[in-house]
Amino acid sequence: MRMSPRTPRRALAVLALAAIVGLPCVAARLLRAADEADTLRITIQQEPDSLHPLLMDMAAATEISGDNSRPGPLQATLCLRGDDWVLRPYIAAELPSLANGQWKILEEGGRMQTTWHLRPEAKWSDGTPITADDFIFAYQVIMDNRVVGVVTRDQERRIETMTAEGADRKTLVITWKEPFAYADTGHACLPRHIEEPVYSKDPASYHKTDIADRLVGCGPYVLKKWNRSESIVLERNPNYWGEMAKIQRIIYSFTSDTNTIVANILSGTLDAVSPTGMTFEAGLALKADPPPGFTTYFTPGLVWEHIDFNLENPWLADKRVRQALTYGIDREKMVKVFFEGQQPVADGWLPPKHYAHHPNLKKYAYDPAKANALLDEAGWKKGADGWRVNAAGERFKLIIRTTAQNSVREQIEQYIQSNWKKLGVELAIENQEAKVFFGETVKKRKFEHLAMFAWLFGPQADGETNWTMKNIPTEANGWTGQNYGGFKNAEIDRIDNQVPKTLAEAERVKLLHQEQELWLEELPAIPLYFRCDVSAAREGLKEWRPTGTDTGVTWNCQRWSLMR
Amino acid sequence: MRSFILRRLLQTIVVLFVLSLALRAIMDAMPGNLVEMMITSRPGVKPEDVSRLRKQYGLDDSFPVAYAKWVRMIVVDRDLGYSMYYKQPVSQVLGPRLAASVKLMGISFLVSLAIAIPLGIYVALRQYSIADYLTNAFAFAGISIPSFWLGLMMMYLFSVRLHWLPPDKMHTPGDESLGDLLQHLILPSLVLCVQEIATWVRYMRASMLEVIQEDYVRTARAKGVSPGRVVWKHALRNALIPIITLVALSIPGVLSGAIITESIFSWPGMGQLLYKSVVNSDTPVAMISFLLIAVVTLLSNLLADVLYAVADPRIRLT
Repeated sequence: MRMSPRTPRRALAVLALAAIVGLPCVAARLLRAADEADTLRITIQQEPDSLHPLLMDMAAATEISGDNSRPGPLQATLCLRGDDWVLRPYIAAELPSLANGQWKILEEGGRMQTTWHLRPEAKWSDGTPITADDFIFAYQVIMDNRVVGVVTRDQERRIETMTAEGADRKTLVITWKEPFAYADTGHACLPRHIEEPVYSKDPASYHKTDIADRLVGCGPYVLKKWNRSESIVLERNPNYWGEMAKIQRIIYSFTSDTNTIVANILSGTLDAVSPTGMTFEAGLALKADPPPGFTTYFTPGLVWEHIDFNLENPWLADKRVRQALTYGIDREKMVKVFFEGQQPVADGWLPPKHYAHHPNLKKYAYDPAKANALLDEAGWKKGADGWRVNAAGERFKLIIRTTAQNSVREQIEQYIQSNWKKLGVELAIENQEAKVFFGETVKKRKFEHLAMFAWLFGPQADGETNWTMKNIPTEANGWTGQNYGGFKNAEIDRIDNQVPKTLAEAERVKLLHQEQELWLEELPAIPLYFRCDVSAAREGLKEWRPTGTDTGVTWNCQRWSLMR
Repeated sequence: MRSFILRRLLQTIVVLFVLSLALRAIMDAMPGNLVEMMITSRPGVKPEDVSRLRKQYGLDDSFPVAYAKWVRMIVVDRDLGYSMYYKQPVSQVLGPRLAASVKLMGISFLVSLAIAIPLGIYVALRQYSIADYLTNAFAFAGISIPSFWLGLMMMYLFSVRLHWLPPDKMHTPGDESLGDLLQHLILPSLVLCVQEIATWVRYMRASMLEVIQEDYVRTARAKGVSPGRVVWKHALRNALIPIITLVALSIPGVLSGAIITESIFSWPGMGQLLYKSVVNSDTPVAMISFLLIAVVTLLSNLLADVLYAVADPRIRLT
């Protein structure tokens, strides 16, 4: 075939046309790629309810914004606990302590005072300095009965006065009515110069104003846009007073379906999956078949899965029965089978990473012989049909309840059912929809025998709300408190009430060790396992350090960097 | 006709009143109110906190007082209320989600009808042909395949393997363009269309088959009327009468959303909102959402009756 003289000209024309059309596309793509390198795309299973530290109620809000004591992209806090759970100053220059004189006992066993010196460089995203007045204003809002949406005032109700000192008003002095061990864990702060006019106008509608969109914060990022139900875009805060954020933009998108999250990872539209709401099964699936360039993180956490006994039931009031039932579950095998060993057996109620965890606790290792002996001793004898009965001829049949459609819990129930069958104990599974289970059955202590659920503890958990008698929910106390099993033990009650008033950490550790030993002997609940926080991120994402606590993975977001 | 419409509109108001009472009673009777949900996971909540929150959220009011306050807020203050779950006024919660549902469901509905009705007529006129068998097979498959499976398969093919379409959501963050919206619309509306076409095509085919066997169609053919005129003038108009009713009665579905498809494709529509409002005891949002759907259902019923009379001269509305 001969090429005509006009062919090269035609070819050149086609090439020129392709260049005209194609170059801008290539340029745009290159620019986009450059832009994306400075953008981090995270998906999270929940959408926050609010970005305002006092009004938010969801873990997703804490992660995307930050709140009174847990920092995030929009909110710095007086102090913070990172992934090592150690308390460090953040807005504060240092933590108050008895040693540095910023924590003073005014009356032995009574009033005390803490002093916080705020960093001189700390400022809001609009450039206004953060002062003690911002903390005093937040305290005033929290304590105002007209303000709607503030749930708990556990810390604030212990405060007598809060004052600002110094010419720059950078010193915050707090006088406490009573000893409080956690007085060094921080206080809420709000931009007074922005929010006070809104609040003063009508405190009752303060929660309805657009302050909830949190346009002025003090963290490393500012809110750029919130597309409700879809995404939140955060931009680097140019006025941030600490280490400047490395990534220009963080985009949070909301995806509730786990399969869709995986599809997003595989199609390359994501850089990280938040631990908030990510299921353990999804984590195992990602680990088993990892998307190229992604790492799955299993971070040991503070979520304690357990079974509460109804201790008002005469069968379960006998601690030999409770011990026998615990000896009768092979929990080591359980965590291997269901969690590939990623979630450890809980020996007690405090996780190994907690500052007061007792390392040498009595272990309830699987021991069916001991379980059978204890049940025999408690008067539950095996009948001819293999099931146990008591002297009154009642068959030992227990009812367990948990949240329906939670496949992990349902499988664990069946596993326990088969374990206990070998002991001659029948277990009937009667699960309920989460709203009914938590709203009625557990909270109002309506479960017959057993309730399986989890507690998310904080790093300073001390058991006061879980195991003291004053925290048994009743109609008279408005169903407050979390001692759902109705546990009553005078010594544990004394210790757990004493811990929050004991200022020295070493003393608290001693008390809590004593408490854990007693608790394991009494066994008001069956400790099952500690859950992990599961997240996933591109291998090039540096400093992605989930905490395993209620502090969001964003606690150090200014240090994140992404290499694609 | 006018008095019929007026009477039906008055009936609608009565039905809405009774429905709102029943809805409120059901929401109040459900276990776990908003305050109980809030305090369950919060350590350190004291009885005084509970009584303060109950008072703020109006949970101490008796049923008649709470209902009267709610009606007054809607009718006198023209305020739809405030969602303590979303921390937004109900109107701001509902507005964007209604718009999202109308976009997804409305497009799927119209596209489905545009394909299913001609297809139904075509295969009815060619009963037992290959096209008829293929359409029936598609219809059975479309009705039987679960939407979550179909959605995931489409996502896998078009997003994960081919990288042609975004896997989920309504917009790429920062891109509000129409082109971006259309790209995001394709997968969820395709899933909905498969199911809807499957349903509508069977209705249309059955209706048409019934009509073309009628005596008046045979008479028209015997009189030598052209086949096209027989179909368009005599058969189709009669075959469409039941379809009109079904179409009118399907309109509320455009507003109520499709919870599974919305959930898989992270589409911020009404289906998810309705579900979450009930699960989270968000009474203000649940009340208005259900009433809105009830209003559209009642009006669609009225529309169906009116269209029925328009399409069929034998029916007179009095």
